[in-house]
Order: sequence, then structure tokens, then C-alpha cells
Amino acid sequence: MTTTSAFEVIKPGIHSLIQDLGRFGYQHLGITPGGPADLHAYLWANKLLSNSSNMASIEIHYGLMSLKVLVDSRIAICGAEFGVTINNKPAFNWQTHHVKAGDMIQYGGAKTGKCGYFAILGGLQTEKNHQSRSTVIRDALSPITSTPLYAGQTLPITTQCAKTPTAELQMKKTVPRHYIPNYSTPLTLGLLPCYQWQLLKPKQQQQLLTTRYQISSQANRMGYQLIGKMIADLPTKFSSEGIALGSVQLPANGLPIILLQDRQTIGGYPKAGVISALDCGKLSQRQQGADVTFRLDNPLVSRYKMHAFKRFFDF
Amino acid sequence: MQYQLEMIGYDAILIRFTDADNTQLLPVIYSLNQLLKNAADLDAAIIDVIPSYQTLLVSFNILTTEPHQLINKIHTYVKQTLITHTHASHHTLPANAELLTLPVCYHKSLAPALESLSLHASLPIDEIIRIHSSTIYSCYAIGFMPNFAYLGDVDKRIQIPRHAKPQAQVAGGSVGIADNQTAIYPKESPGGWQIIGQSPASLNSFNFSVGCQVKLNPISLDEFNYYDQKDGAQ
Repeated sequence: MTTTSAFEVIKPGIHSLIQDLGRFGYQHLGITPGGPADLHAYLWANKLLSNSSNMASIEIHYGLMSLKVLVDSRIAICGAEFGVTINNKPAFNWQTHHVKAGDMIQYGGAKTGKCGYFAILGGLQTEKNHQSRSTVIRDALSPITSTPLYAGQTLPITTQCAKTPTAELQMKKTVPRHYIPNYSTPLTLGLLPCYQWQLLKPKQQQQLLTTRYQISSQANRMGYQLIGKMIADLPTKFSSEGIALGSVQLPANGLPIILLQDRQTIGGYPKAGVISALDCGKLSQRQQGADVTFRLDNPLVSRYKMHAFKRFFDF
Repeated sequence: MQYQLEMIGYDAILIRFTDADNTQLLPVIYSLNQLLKNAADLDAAIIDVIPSYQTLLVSFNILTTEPHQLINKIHTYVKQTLITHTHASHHTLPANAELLTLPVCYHKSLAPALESLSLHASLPIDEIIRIHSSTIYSCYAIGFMPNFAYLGDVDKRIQIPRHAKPQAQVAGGSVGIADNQTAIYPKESPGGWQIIGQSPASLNSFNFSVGCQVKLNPISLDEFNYYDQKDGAQ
């Protein structure tokens, strides 16, 4: 399969990473899965282009990215609202756009939400490592999968996707309004109790479920630390064990950390349970200072929801 | 040997052994991990298995797999593993486990904590090196970063707690001790372990796996520099 450079990175933005669905089957080697911080927005961007769900796109944190288009193609923009422009004209969020060689795509700062997705017809064809193109900086598996976008970088697509589009391809596709989330609403995360939940005292469980937490400045793809009333007298000294996505870890300081896509694969702090992958995505769209609370959730209901979600997006 | 299975959220199962020490468990965890990975009837179901000291975390594909069916299959595999190990004596290392030999240079220029360990343990440096490099270690878990293997058990005489405050930068290849465990930093990283040597071998050419055996082979500074130039090619 031959590739063609489709974009040149003029400004990489604050933190822009290439992501496909992630790196699975290697956690026993300490390799974290990575993958999109917000599955919902990532999958919509691919779906709008009729891409398969694992095709690599750019995950843009905080914005300020600009790209020069090198070949005619078709893109989709989803997720956080960055006030994107193409040749200084507004390019609306949650829809596809046709771009031509020479066009300039510019991202502003995040107006609502935190991370956005920039997908391209056929997906980016950067080099894979351990069967994935996802960037995980701390795992340092290979230069291309451990480096954020940088100025001067060119991003390849397959040659067959770089073509003057037919009339059909020029039709814009838009995400139906009722699928577009509001990233500014207060967030309640559904806690699925497991791991060391039963070892917590009723008072500690109650405190986790009734405290209004705020997102701290320590919030990134590895995990989100919350600030609020500290939970006292937590049990300590557990053997390290495998950490599932969305684990609600309770370190000795009593402030929960929700572990996300770039988490460590094992750890020894107690965990009150996990939140669903969909809740992880919602959390990843919240900025520092946003309110977060927990409520008990039902694993069966969460599984049905995730099942339906996976069916809808075909992954 | 007692164990329990627990649902983690909606797409993972935690197998937890509850009444055995880590050394007894290692061969069980190792065998069960192999069994789960190679089981043809689980191939489409299992996404990841993370073995650790007393647990294996199995994540599965909810589209292809009903949790209760997977739980039943896992029960079968755990029981099968336990029967095989019931008659094995304690401390039996996995028979087919791989033995990796890694060169380590214990020269003081690469070993910032060797002198403090010598004081802590009241042993001469030579003796610490002899003890540290004469044990055959087992890999109990892998984590913290890719290919960071938690090796044990460190001889009681040379155990030392990790630094109270992690060092901002530990060189790649550094060999550290934290209580009863030793490990090699696969690459430069912040870290809290007491560094007593450095391996020149490019760890990319070593694939640790839970249950594998590791022997450390002391080398001189000259040999270290020679290896280093060759980027660990052996």
C-alpha cells in the first residue's frame, strides 16, 4: 500500500497525539493500551467518513494546532469545540469537510470540552508499533508512537484516499444533534464497585459517594486526580494487581485518582471500583476545576450500554 | 489453595488467590497465564491477561463473550492448574521457564546507592555484589513501564527500602533494590529504587515474562564500556 503526505504540521498545538483504538494484548509486558481519551468523539469522526473504527486520527488537547493540506481529501472534526477554520472560514464541529491542497486548517483554544478529533478519509498511515499507531509518550516504544505532533512533520494517508472527490463524497455529513454531548454539564460518574470496595469502611464508601469533587491540575491521559474532602484511614499495603480502565484508585492521601488510557498496567493502591469507558470519555472532556460526583451504578446496565455503543460504532 | 473470581466492571474478571505466599503462587500464576493465553476456546474472548503477585486480571470482549460463560471456563482452568500443582513441592519454579542472563556492572560510578547499602547492611561492597549476583531471581510481575520486571527475592542481608523521595532521573539499565525486590530500569526514568549497578544490555533484546528466571552476571567497567559501545549486542 503506497502512501502520500496529506498534511504538514505548521503548528503542533499544545498537545496533539495520533490515536487509533489502542494497543491491546500487551499489558502483561507493561505496555499500556493507550487509545482515544474520548471514544465517543473519536468514533464519530471515523464514522462520519465511513472509516473503520480503528483508523488513526489526531487527538487534539487544548487546541492551537494548524495544518497545511498537501493533497485533496476529506476530513471530519469532532469533540471539544475549538473554533476550527479552513482558510480563515469557520469549519463547523461534528461534521465532515472537503479540503484541497494548499488549504490551511487552524484550531483555536478549547471553548468547551478538552480534546477533539481530526480524522481523515482512510485514516493516518503513520508507523505502527505493537500493532497500533496510538501515541503513548511514557511508554517510549518507538519515536513515532511516543512523540506528540511537531512542526514540520508530514502525515501520510494511503494514495488511494488522496483523490479529487466525486460529487457523492463532497456531500457533508453531520452528527445528528441529539448525539452531540454538552461537555459543560456537571458530571456524575457511575461507580461499579469492585477490587477493594468491600474492604472500605461504610463511612469511607459513603464519603466517596457523597463528596463533590473538583478536577485537579493533575489531569491527563494517565489519570485524573480529584480534589475534595480527603478520605481518612484508607487501607494500605496491597500486592500490585492489574489495573482496569477507569479504576478509581484511593492513594494514601485520600484523594481519588481515576486511571485512564495511559495508566500503569499494575499498581498496589486500593481501588474502590471502576467507571465505564463511556464515563472515562466524558471525564476526559472536563477541564480543571469542573465538578465531579460518584453514584453507584449497575454493571449489568453498564454492559448493555457499552454493548449497544460497540454495536453502533462497530468495534 | 483458595481463590476467588470477581467481576471488575463489566468487561474484566480478576482471579485472586487468597491464602498462599508469592513464592508458592508464582508457578501457579505462571501456568495459569500460559493456559489462558493458549486456550483455543478463549482466543476470541480474551483481550488481555495481566498476571501479578496474587492475581490475574482478564479483560474480555463483551461482544463475543457472556461473562458467566467465561467465568465458568476460568473456574475450570484454575482448578486444572491447581490440581497439577498440588503435588509439586513448594518453591518449585516453573519447569519450562526461560532463564535470562544479564551482565551488570557494579562499579561505584554506576552505583550511587552501593556505599549506603554497604553501611545499611554492615557488609563490604564486594560481599553485597557477590550476594546480589549469586541469586537466581524470578519475575513476579511486569509493570510501572514496559519491560520493567519485578524480580525476587533479594537476599535478606542486602534488602533496603526504596528512597523516601523518588530520584528525578535514573539512568536506563540501572539495577535497583527495593526491599525484597530488584529490577532493571529499561530506560531513563524517575524512580525510587536504590541503584547498585547498571546493565549495558539493551533491554529491548530481553523479553521478561512473569515466571521467567533471571541471573545477573557481574562485569568490569571496561567490559561495560565495551558492551555499551556495541549497544548491548551479545
